[in-house]
Amino acid sequence: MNSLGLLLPEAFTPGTVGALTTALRADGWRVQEIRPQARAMDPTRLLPAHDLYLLLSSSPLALAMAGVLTARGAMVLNPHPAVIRARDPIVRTTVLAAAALPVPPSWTTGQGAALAPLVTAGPLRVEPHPTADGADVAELRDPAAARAYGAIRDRFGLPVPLVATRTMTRAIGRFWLEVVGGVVLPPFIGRPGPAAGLAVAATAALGLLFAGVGFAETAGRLVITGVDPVPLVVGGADLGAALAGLVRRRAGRLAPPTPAYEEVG
Amino acid sequence: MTPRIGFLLARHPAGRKSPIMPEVFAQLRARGATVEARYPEEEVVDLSRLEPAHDLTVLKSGGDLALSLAGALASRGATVLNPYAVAAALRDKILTTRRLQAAGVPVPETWVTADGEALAPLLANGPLVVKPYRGSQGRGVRVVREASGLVGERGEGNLVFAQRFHQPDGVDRKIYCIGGEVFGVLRAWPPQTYEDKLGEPFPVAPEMRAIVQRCGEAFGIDLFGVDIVISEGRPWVVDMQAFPGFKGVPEAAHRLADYLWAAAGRAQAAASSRTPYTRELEVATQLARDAGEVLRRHHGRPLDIARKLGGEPVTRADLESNAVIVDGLRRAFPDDAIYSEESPDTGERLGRRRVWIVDPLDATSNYLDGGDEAVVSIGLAVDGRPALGVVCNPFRDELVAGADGVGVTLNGRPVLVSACGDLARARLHVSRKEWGRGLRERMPEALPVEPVASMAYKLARVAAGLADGAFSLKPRKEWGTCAGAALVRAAGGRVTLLDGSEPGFNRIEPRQPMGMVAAGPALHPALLEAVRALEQEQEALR
Repeated sequence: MNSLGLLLPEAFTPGTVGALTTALRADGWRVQEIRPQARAMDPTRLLPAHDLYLLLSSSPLALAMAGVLTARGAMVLNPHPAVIRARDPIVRTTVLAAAALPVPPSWTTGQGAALAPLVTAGPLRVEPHPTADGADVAELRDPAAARAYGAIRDRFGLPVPLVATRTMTRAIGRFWLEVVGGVVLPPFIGRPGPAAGLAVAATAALGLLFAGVGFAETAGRLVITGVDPVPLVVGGADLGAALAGLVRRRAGRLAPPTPAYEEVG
Repeated sequence: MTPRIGFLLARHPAGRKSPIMPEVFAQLRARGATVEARYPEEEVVDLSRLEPAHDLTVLKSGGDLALSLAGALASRGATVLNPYAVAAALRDKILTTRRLQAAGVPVPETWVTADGEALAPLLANGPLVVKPYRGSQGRGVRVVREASGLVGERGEGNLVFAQRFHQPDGVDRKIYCIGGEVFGVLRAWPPQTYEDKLGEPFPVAPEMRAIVQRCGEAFGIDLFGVDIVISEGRPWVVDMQAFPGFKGVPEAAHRLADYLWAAAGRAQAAASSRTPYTRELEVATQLARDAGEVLRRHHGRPLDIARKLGGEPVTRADLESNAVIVDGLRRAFPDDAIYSEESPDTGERLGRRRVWIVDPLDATSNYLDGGDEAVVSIGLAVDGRPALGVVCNPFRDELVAGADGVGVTLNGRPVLVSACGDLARARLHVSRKEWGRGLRERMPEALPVEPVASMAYKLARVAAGLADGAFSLKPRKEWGTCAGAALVRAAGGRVTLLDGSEPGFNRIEPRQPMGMVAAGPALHPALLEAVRALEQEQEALR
């Protein structure tokens, strides 16, 4: 029997996970829901216990667990290194731009004041990375605002990276598409034609097997505004069914059985 | 050529300045290097125009922005020291601890949790050290002895990292490694002054040296520092850093300059040898020969046959050949990804520029039937394009090898695709399986076709001019086509899918989206048209 470990957040919409587990259990899969927040984990004793893991939580503990499992030879989807790259807006933007995909003009610095000359050409949206619940996100409309923004420091007084993007002042629409295994999930009817291809290309450029891809649409132009490698919270039953399909396809390429998993706490 | 070295640095307050890095810069410049010191927090970097500007980028800063920038530069092909993936892993104490422990390094018992109070029962066995899981330089480290010390502890990113506290027998040991040389410094913790940081040198005992070597091996680096606590006579590694300050190391600046000068030279050499793939061809050719010997050894003998999902056979010969190739590639090119038909695919390859795409035994069915058309196929895809290929048929003593910008050889002799442009006179190869499954009946008599097993072998024969063209109506998998496609291109031929587009490699799904046509440039257009007509006829029959 194949087995799947689901690394889940503490709270989530049940649609995706329900559809995923129902579909796989009907095929005879053993599916374990793992909420890494629930217990203290000894990473030195963590070993793979499933043929495959799906990383459906972006909590630091779930990411850490995915990293440790990967280092111990487990197959984790999305791949842990790809998730780390995609979650870093500096790396992500560089990768997408290098793949000739449309991203908004973007800069990084450690000092808000350094952005002042750029603000004269139009407003900038600035946010620290990582951001905590949107804290310190601001729109800079003039050089004075940039100078006043200053630097954000972490709890040890170290400067936090700032990522600034040109504000899409004329955006006529914003939407997300979900991609699983190179296929865009419905509904994308009514979305601009090239969006589906761009979403698939962005996912592949970052080495992801599934993701939510955010777009802003200006007059005649699409821009990729975000890539979420853990799109569970915006998904529904379609996403769950598509993920089940991805898991089945990957099942043909599984590693040999792995030793037992030990969790302590 | 003068090496260009860029340093990603953090600006420290005047009182915290160490003379070591300025001395390193001066020594590198004195040797002729171009040195640029960059302070990412003080710059504005345009991410859509980021390009590597140095032969070597040295990630010295422990800041998050420098790490992200190093990752962005690495994604654009820059050589980063220490490598971005290693530096990122070493910032994460959870991953670091697991990798060290797996390498046999003594690390304290370790726990992570989202709720610090969940650790309280562990205090029954002694105090804990609570640290930020992504911290450095001792920031936020504290010893917790009572449960009250855990109340409300949420940690960084709601993640609490704790290790068993081992009371040090004396001051801490800081051990530095520069290019395999190991230096020990006794240092009181936490250091208060620069003199405290210089500490006192001590000779590193052989057993401690062995521990430090295992730390380096766990991450594949030889420039790092580790913190070791001796408690009741036992050593415990409690931290590891990718590029520490090296304070207290005798002649630290001179040693670092030596190391970085050599690393920049290696980066330059690697860049200049990137094409024509000299070393890659040498290694892949030898591995293909070795794997071919494995196939020859098992040929004609009874083999246990397992079935993969989808029904394809797999034998001990496949797996042994795979082990020879994968182990050899991993040793020779540790930074490259490997995508083999007989190895689990973790998907990590998808974000990588250079991916070895391997079929350790293409045409297993023909092999099991005692045929002589099965081959070893080793390809290298760079940025999704087939760049290098080696195909070895050990039963006919044929080895075809080549790469972009190098050309192709058959058993060491330069070869080219054929110049034939007349379809009626062309020697064409098709799949034996497709031939036996109805293609024979539908093939126009005018087309001189010979069925041959193994897509890799068919493509290699086209590249070597032994056949004028080859095609498959069925979508073929990357493992059996990457090397062959690289060979046909390098020999001056064309390989396309049935819609005329070039096949991409290192895609999410292993199978190409449609069938494939390969031939010399004179024949390819006519062959593609003929194969499309066959495909349409096949569709109509369905």
